[in-house]
Amino acid sequence: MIFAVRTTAGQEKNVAEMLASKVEREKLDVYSILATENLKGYILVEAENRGVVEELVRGAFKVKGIVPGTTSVDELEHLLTPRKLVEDIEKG
Amino acid sequence: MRACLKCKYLTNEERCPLCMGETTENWRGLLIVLDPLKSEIAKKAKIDIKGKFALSAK
Ligand SMILES: [Zn+2]
Repeated sequence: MIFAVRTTAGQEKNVAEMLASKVEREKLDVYSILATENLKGYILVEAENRGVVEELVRGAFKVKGIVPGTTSVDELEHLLTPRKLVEDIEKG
Repeated sequence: MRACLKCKYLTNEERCPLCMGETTENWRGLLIVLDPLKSEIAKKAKIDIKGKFALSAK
């Protein structure tokens, strides 16, 4: 499941790296963390369930909260496969 | 931090430790893959190993 986590604006990558270290240290069920310039003030955390994300961000610096609901990986397709966009443009 | 132009792996090296590709400082987006087998995002991005990756690099 993919959750959006609110962060201090401009700190998205730093927060992502900090949380990734916490995942490794505490062996949390987090599968990936995504920070993209297209999404200011948010990172995406892919984890087993919401409870895992709550544990992950508890007490974390520069994290403001978890957005209700989840995001589907299909919604992220355009971020993850930028080359496809170029191909579409070239095809006209 | 630099990103590999070929596989987008993030590294401080001039050459990518994974695929020996050239690296660049011109990269955007950060995807940290912690569990490549369970991550749908990693699968979508065609990444099958743990590590930090750029979303795009040129
Ligand atoms: Zn590489």
